[in-house]
Amino acid sequence: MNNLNLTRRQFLKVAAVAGSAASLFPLGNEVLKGLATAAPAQPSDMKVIQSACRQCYGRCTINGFVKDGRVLKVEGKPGTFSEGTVCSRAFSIPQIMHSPLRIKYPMKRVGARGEGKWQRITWEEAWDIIIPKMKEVQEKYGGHTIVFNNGTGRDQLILMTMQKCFYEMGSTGGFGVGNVCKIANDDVQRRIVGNPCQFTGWDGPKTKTILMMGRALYSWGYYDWLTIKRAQERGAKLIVVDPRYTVAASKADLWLPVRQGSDLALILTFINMLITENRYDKTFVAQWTNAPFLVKEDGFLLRQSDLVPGGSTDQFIVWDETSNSIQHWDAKAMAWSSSDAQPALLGTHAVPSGKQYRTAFQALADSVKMWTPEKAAEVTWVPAEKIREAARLYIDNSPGACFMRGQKIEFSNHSSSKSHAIAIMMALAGNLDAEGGNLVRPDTPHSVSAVFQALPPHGKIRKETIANIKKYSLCPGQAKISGEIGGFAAATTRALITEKPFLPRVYWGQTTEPMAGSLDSRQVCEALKKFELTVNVDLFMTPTGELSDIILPAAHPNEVDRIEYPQSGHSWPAANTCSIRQPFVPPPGECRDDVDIIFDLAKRMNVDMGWKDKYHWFEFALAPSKITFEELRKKGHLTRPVTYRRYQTGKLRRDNKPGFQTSSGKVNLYSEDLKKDGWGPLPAYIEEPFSPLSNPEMLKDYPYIFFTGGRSHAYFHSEYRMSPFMREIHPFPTVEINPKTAEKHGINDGDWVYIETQHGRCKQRACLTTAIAPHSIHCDHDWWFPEKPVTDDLHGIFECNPNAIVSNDRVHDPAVGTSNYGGLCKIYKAEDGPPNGIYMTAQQLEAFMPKAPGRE
Amino acid sequence: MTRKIMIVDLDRCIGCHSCAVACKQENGISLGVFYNKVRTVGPFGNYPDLELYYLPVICQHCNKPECVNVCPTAASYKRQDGIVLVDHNKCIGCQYCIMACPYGVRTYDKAKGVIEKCTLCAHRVEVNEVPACVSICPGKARIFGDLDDPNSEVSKAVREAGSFLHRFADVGNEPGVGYILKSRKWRS
Repeated sequence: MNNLNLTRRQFLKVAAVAGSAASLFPLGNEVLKGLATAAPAQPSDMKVIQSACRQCYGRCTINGFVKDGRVLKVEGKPGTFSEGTVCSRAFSIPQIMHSPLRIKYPMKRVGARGEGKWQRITWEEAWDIIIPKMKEVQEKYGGHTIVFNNGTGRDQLILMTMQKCFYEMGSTGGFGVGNVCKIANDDVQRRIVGNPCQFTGWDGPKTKTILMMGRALYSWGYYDWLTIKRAQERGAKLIVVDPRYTVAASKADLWLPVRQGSDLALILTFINMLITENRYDKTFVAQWTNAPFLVKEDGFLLRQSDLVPGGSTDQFIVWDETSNSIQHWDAKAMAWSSSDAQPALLGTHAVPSGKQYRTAFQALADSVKMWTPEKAAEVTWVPAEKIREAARLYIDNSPGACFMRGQKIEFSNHSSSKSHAIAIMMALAGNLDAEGGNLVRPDTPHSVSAVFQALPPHGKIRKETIANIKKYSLCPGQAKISGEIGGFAAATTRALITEKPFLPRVYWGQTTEPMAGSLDSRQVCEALKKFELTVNVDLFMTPTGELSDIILPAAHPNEVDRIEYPQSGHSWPAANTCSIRQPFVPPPGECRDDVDIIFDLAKRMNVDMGWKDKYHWFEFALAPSKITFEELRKKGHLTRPVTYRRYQTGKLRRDNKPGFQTSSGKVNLYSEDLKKDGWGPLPAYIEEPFSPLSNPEMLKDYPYIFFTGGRSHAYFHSEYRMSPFMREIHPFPTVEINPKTAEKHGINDGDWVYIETQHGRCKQRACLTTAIAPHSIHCDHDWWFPEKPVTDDLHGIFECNPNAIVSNDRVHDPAVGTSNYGGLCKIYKAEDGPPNGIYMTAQQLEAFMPKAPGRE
Repeated sequence: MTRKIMIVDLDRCIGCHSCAVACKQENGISLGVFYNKVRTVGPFGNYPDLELYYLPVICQHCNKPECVNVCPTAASYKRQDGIVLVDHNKCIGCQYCIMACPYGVRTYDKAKGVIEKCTLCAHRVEVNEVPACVSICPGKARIFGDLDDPNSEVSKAVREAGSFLHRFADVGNEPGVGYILKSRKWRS
């Protein structure tokens, strides 16, 4: 551990801290009594340790002040992308680390599932139960009946090592959050652009316009707000697309109050305007996208093999306006057949046989022709003039306008089309990898981002699984999360209930709470009970933990060594930075680093992880940066300079050739991959089921649009409900209702309210606000109550959880498995008041405060 | 003279409550007590024609603090540098000051039996550090310094803000904390 040498200034500051920070644990608490009566702390007793925060995906750099094995306080560490700022969640770190609710030892269940009877066992005893069962199932039923759930992850390395370990056992995934997180659209972007470019990499410091969709600033990395504000201060415009008047909307230059789930209509309109107003970047579109490729009547692209028997399938046919003849792009050689080719973008062109073919770009233009601002206004309920104004801001400032999104727009049965359309919009406007636009995040080996490609080659079992994915996937022919492995939460749940296409046998959950985060919590609960072996790795006893056979105690992120990467959503320099995350204190009891647990499991299951342990991986990941992990520990962080238009310099492709890392080497505006995966080759708007437009007769009984997913300033999905500080600033599951709507139902601010769909009802506390439209209801997601006994609905996982009232029996995006978590609902006052047994007062929250050392 | 004070740029405030929690950690405040309260002012208007701003409310460290005048034990006092503090050794928890304060920023801490309020992190100021809420503010919305020093950051901010600098209603106590709000109508 790195004990920094204190400067005189820090010495004085720490002395002051020692006086006050001891009272991190308030009066009435044993800790304070102990510390308050002790002699004043000597500065030499206190260590200041630089690290990173993992309380959300922002990964701000922080300093921990540690004394006698206790983290007394956390501060922002200046001099990095987060500039010394941190959000409220960072201050829950000491409370979570030293929580009286921490699980410190492996345990085995000795009562019925959900009865809450546990017995402490040793790690060896735990492995002796887990490993023989896993081996038996792998041998008898196949590795694909072992499912794992990686949640949103205590960090990226846990996800990657889990995936590596389980895929090598023959697992095809199973639960997991790929279908409700950025993974789904990253996957689409890989097919279109080659690499992700929609969350991370917006060029905030140079942008002229920021188009922000479904992101309210509270989700992750508040330093992004500083970037946005500075851009606004130098004249850039912020456009926010959101059904709610969020904090972001309140700061926007233009807010588009879009109807839930209709945002794709806006993007298609932008694309149409770019084309019809002749404002697209012709050079980029002609040279760096597959727009000029000719399209066959079956929807696939015309190849040399279609024209000449035995011709190449890698050669795509275009109409060359220089020679007035057909030429081709060779995707293997990455070259045009004629060096001065000027491929036609629009029109229909004849090949020598006389047959006529449309260009892909013409097909796109035809497909978006209907999307005028007026048409979009009908669908989105945003006035046409506002749509036009937004399009003007984006188009007139391109190249140099950037796009940024939240995850909520993923919650859709057509999220593939959304991600596809957004990529097309960026490409047409010339904003891809351009100054002020959206920078592509390549997975080519380069400094500070090796986490995305630092995985060893596939083993024998994994290769066999991939080759026969239809047979082994829980959703054959449907979702393909990350383009390779089948299985997502909804399909896994269904498979467990119906035992089709097969019955999964073993569940391994880590950093996740599927009953909180997946569709139909009650069905997930029933499904989890069907496993022969269930293992849950966590810091706390969670609702899913209560259904497990074995509990393994995990270390807190600030108790382990890691290279930390700001995840998803950031501008540079954050997007180009890696920093050290190192322990403030060692893990308590027998808690272990999640990654060490996985490496241990792999060894016992005879899986070759490629790396012998995490330090081995760290060295590999840092090699392009020419720095060792121990040097990073001292240095703190590394930032790579930003460069533009890397498709011209070969920096986006593994073979270093100019172009994009896609099947054609160009931006696949026209996507054969999506077509193969069950989508169309071009984006198409599909109305969500259970919406006022698709299902108007339902409005009689369920008159309001019900949606979820707005982020809290206190929580990260289902985490931190046991932090008193977080519960103080966000005490209750909160439903936002427009005052006019509330009045109709006799609901007052602060009343407990039932939200009811066709599938059930949940209870939340009313917040009356005009920030939401009278036709809509927004619910907090992922609530449970650690204070409620397990015997009361598994710590209250169903009562206030909106995911308990959405059915799993709905349409999913065929290419990435996403689906709409909302629908239509009715509301009424809950005459029975708040849920039983939840903490309502500050006094009650004292039970969550850390106890004195030695009295835990 | 010295007058330590805080200015909050509300155009940069995103109402994230980070200040409120940072303050609780730094000052070891009991659960249920806040030195820093973040209010939402609005939204005003009808959906979707709305406006709102966030307003962090702390002790205003008034020039003529009424809380000090009414304190029967001289526990509430104003320092030379302008910071208003409560000496917990002298405070008897009578709560007169709570009644005297026009801004509702003082809280009686039952467990401790004393009055709690923002100290402008006097313990940090003494070692030339800014208050905790200033140092971590994700919007860098808070500016701290000496209003009597024309070259300080606060003095500069006050000059630049001009008529966009707002203060809470003055009922003879001369509140010190300044709020900058340009993008919205001041309604507090």
